[in-house]
Amino acid sequence: MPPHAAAAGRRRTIALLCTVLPGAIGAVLILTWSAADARWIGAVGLAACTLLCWMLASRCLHGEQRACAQARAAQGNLRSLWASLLPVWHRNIDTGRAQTEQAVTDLAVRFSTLRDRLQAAVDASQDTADGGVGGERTLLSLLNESQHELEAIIASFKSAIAARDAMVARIEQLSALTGELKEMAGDVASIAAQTNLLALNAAIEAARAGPAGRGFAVVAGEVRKLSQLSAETGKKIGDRVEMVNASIGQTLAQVREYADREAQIIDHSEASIKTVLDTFGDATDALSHKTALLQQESMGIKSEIDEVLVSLQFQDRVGQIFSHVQNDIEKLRIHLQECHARSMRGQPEPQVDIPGWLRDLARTYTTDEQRRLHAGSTAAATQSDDITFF
Amino acid sequence: MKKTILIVDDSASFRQVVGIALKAAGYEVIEGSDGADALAKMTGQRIHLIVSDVNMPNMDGISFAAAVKNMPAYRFTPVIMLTTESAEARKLQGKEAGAKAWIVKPFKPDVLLAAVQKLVLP
Repeated sequence: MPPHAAAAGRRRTIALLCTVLPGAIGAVLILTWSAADARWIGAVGLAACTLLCWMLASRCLHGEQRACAQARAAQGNLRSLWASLLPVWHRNIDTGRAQTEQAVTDLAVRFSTLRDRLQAAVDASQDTADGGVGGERTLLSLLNESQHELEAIIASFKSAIAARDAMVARIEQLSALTGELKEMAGDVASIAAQTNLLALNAAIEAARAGPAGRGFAVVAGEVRKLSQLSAETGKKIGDRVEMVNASIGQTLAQVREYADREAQIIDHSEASIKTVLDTFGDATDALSHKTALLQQESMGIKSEIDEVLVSLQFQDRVGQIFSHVQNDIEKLRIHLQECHARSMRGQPEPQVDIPGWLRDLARTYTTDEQRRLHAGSTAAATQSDDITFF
Repeated sequence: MKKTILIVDDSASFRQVVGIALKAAGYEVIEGSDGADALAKMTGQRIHLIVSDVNMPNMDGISFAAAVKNMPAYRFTPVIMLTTESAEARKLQGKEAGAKAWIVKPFKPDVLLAAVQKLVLP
């Protein structure tokens, strides 16, 4: 029983006693005492007491009415407060729920986009490491193929140089042959000189032989002419051989010079190619290593993003919990509205079955954590491996 | 050709999360905001599997599963219930409505994908 109602009850009791008791005492005096004075006194006393008691009772009743009016006013004020406040709470919760839902949806979309872009970057880096050629060819195999082709080119250069060296050798042999030809030309000149001398001696002997030696002198003279011609031819051959030899010598010198220069160039090119290939190989190794690191990191980041996306599931549970709270706030508002209407009509307000109300609220729960919270526990939700196949 | 999975849940953010997990595994995804919306969107589509919440407005997941079972084109389409509910009585309702599996939220992606891979139509 409310305190103010208990106090009103006590006041009514006091008022009743104060009204009935003096009357009873006065009646006893009048009925039991025989003396007229005593009866007068009793009657006056009875009347005075009755008057005082009536005044007291009125005061008590008036106070009780004032207290009830105050209580009703306070109740009405509280009801008005709830009527104003509950819809505001309802709207605030609804707004919070909607904003959180939207924010989580946006987050999920953004993380999903990040994940897709990360995958595209990893695919692109892998493609680069493969040398952009796809299929079975990787950057490393491309490097090996390039190395083999360049080595083949160097080998063909060296083969060409070897062929030219062979040609130089043959030219040197030719030079040796021209030397022999020069000797032979010298021999011819020598033979021609001796033949000339012999022809001269024959002419002298022919002159000594007189007329019998005329024919011999003619022969000797022809032989002498032939020997002179031989000598001239031999000299010409010697001169020509000299010229050819000189030309061969110059050519040989030039060829040797070019061969040396080209050998240097090829050696230098070979060294440069090796340096480039080594540098390219180092860069490829570094790129492969970095690509592997990038892939590893990307897989880790993707995994983290997946965990974040799974964690965003909280919004679904929070939304359900807020929805149940909102529904109960609305139920309370309707109940208070009905109480106010009944109060205005002078009807008694319905009493709330509090355990029943809580039972109804528990029946709306859709999560285990709500049921645990209702029972007073604070256990939070955990990810579940629970799967039931039917 | 990619297989298509229908996701039914009144929470847009949750549909996103489930969709991301399924797309990462190579599935196409269609979304419905409740049972009635899902029935409208799946008509005429080739659906290989359905993932549905239970507590939804307009048509809840249990009613939706029962409706799918009564559609000739989809009566063999497996339904996985993905819900916060864990009570045995609710699971029994899901089983009687035709669901093939029941997973309690929050879920682990590998658990969902294991169930999907086990049940998805060929």
